[in-house]
Amino acid sequence: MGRLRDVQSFVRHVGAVESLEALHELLEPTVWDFGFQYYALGHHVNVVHGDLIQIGNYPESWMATVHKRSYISDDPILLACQTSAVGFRWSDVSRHIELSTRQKQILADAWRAGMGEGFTVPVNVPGECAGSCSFAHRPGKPLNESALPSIQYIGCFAFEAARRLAHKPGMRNRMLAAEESLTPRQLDCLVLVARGKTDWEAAQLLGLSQDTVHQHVESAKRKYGVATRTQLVIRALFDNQLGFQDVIHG
Amino acid sequence: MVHIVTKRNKWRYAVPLDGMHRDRKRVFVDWLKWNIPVTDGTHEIDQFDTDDAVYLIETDGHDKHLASIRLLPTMQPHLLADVFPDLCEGPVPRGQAVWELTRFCVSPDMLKTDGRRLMNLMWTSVVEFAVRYDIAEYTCVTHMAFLSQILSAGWDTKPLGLPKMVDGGLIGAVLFKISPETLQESRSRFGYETSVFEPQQRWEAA
Repeated sequence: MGRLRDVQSFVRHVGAVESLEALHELLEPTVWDFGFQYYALGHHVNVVHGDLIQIGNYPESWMATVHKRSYISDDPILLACQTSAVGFRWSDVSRHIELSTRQKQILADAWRAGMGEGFTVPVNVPGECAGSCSFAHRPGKPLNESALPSIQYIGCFAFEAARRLAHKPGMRNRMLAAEESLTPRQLDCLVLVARGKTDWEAAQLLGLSQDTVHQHVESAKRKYGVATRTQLVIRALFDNQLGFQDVIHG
Repeated sequence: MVHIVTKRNKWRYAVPLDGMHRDRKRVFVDWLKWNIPVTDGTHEIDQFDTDDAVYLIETDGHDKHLASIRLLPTMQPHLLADVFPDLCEGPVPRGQAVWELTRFCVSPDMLKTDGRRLMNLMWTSVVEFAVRYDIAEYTCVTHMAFLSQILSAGWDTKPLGLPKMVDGGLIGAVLFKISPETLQESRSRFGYETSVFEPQQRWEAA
């Protein structure tokens, strides 16, 4: 059971990292040490670049495919994070969500790109955008089961280190949370807006007048201090008022 | 403002304590499905809810329980030593200056609107309590699902063992080191300038 020492050592060192680069330099060899080649750590929103944490070493070719084919919006692993409170194996993802054809395609493509078996630790800090830390290795060998308890801790502590860095003064200001929470009705309207409904369509669906829907959306925009509906959706996603699923899957 | 509830002043806090046990049942039994005993079908009370326990409880102006956490002295029976010693690879940390954090509970009624603020308030109260009463370390047995939340408090944390499957859930034991700096950090991080406790709240050690 010598792995506890390694985890404790990682925890001590990660507490002292001062930059995302330093975090990466610590995490990559640690991940190798536990039998994985690849890792990815970050928040689950693709739409805002640079404002949220995303670090890792997934193969370049895979990341190019992901961007080209817009795989992020359907990624089954990210979706399964919404239903699992603890880490899960990629090979078990069908236990958490029902896989669509496209999602099976994504997993198959990942396999071909060299991302064989993997393990993902979801991270859900109240009031913040959902995130995760994933570990993967090349196809051909089974998951190192004995490493999983350690990797649970490594993932959580690494993510917390990244959060701490993101909130440091001097990093870009991340006070994206709303001045006050949205009311349930504002949230109802926002979810429909996020799915591309017009105020009229939303009004029909909610049994409200179009004017009322408009007012709710405007109030929500004021609470976040944004000018456009797109910005509103982004902020609400980050603030965890909206789930990934609310926006992407109608 | 947080209240410090002990055997000496419990009589004044019957309503919030009742609310706390009811909310503990809603959170730990109904929602999280933990395998722990329930009294009268409504209250979650276990063998560690004794006279040695200290409760930090946040209420609204009408004695309603909003959030709470239970502190247990490690020189007395507690979860890590008596129920989950296998989670600790070395000896279970014990001492006058070591307490265990348990049953951190935010009322389900408050979760959607105020969950984050209440969580941050309870973390701050726990740290202030430690600094006031010379507690140097807290141990804690936690389900992996909540580890990220606890880590977001920003404390100096050390795993005491690797997590293990217990009753279908993955849980682990950690140790937090608390210092006056931790309190400064918490206050500045969560926006508290002074004490989070009700004025005149005191805890007298037995």
